[in-house]
Amino acid sequence: MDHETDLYQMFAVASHQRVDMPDGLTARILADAAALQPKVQLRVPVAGPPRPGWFATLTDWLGGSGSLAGISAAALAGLYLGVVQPSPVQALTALVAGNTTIDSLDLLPSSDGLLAQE
Amino acid sequence: MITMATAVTDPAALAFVRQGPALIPAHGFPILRARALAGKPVLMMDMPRDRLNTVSDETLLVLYANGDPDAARLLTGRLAPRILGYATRLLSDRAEAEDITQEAMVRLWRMAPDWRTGEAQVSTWLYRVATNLVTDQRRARARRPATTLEDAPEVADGGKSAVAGLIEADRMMALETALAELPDRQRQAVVLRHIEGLTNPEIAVVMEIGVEAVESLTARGKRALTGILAGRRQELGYDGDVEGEA
Repeated sequence: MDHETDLYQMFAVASHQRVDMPDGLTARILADAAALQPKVQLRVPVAGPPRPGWFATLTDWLGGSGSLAGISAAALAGLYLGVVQPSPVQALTALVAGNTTIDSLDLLPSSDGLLAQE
Repeated sequence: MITMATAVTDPAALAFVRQGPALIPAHGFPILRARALAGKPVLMMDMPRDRLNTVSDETLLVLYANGDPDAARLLTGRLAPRILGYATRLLSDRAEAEDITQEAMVRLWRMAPDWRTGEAQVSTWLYRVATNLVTDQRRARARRPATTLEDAPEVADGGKSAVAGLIEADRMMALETALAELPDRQRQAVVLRHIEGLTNPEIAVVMEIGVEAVESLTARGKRALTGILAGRRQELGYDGDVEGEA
């Protein structure tokens, strides 16, 4: 057995030594810990910001409250023009579409004609 | 809101995440997690006793900073004996080593609220503090004579026979004496590597040097120790038959 092996044996024994803590030292360390521990008890979780509701989510999606106000105003204006039909609007409609009035429009022709041809 | 950047992660143990100033178990422990999320405190005493030893030093330190009354006791039980043994071997003076241990722990308590999780091991940080304190202490006083048996760390005999116990005590005494003859940095590196069991990268952090420098210091330290102890092999029972007694 060589000298280095002896040394490693000594290291192994030393590394497994259990160092007994004097009671007084442990008490002093714990007293220090108690004195230095933050006084404010901050263990209670702080509630995060409230989850936004569907209206806030919609507002954000549309670009904010300003955009939502604009959209609302446009919708009301459209409803007013459609229901009340003010005379300037009727004049504009007549100018664009002419005075031709279509009394009826058959968008789904009857199949009777086809059956008759057969 | 849970901030992942401040998560205390410990794959081998219990993990917590910070929620504001509070800690919440990151996974598992549904009852504790529910308590935390309900605004009730999570304390060490709430945890299953058989899991306390799996809680990392870092988690304990954060719990201490959050006001947990049990965290300091657990941390002290884990770390203070190691620092005491380390300081005793470096200083060859038990009373000074106790003072160093107390002061190192004080610095740990003071630093706890500012601990940056995931950046260093608590034990490595504490070894570094102790190393610096020991260096300051040795600079402040003239080197004392070799350690006495009373100053050596107290050893549990482990049921050895009286003769084997005496031989082992002699060997440990010889090792302590030989270590005391090494230059400070060599002694620190050898003790950290071969007695405290730190890895070379960890020692590099503790001693604030490179890994190659650590390897060089430990190699030179071991050569010096071998030379110092070479003349005492027979006296220490390495050439005789008493070695195997146990």
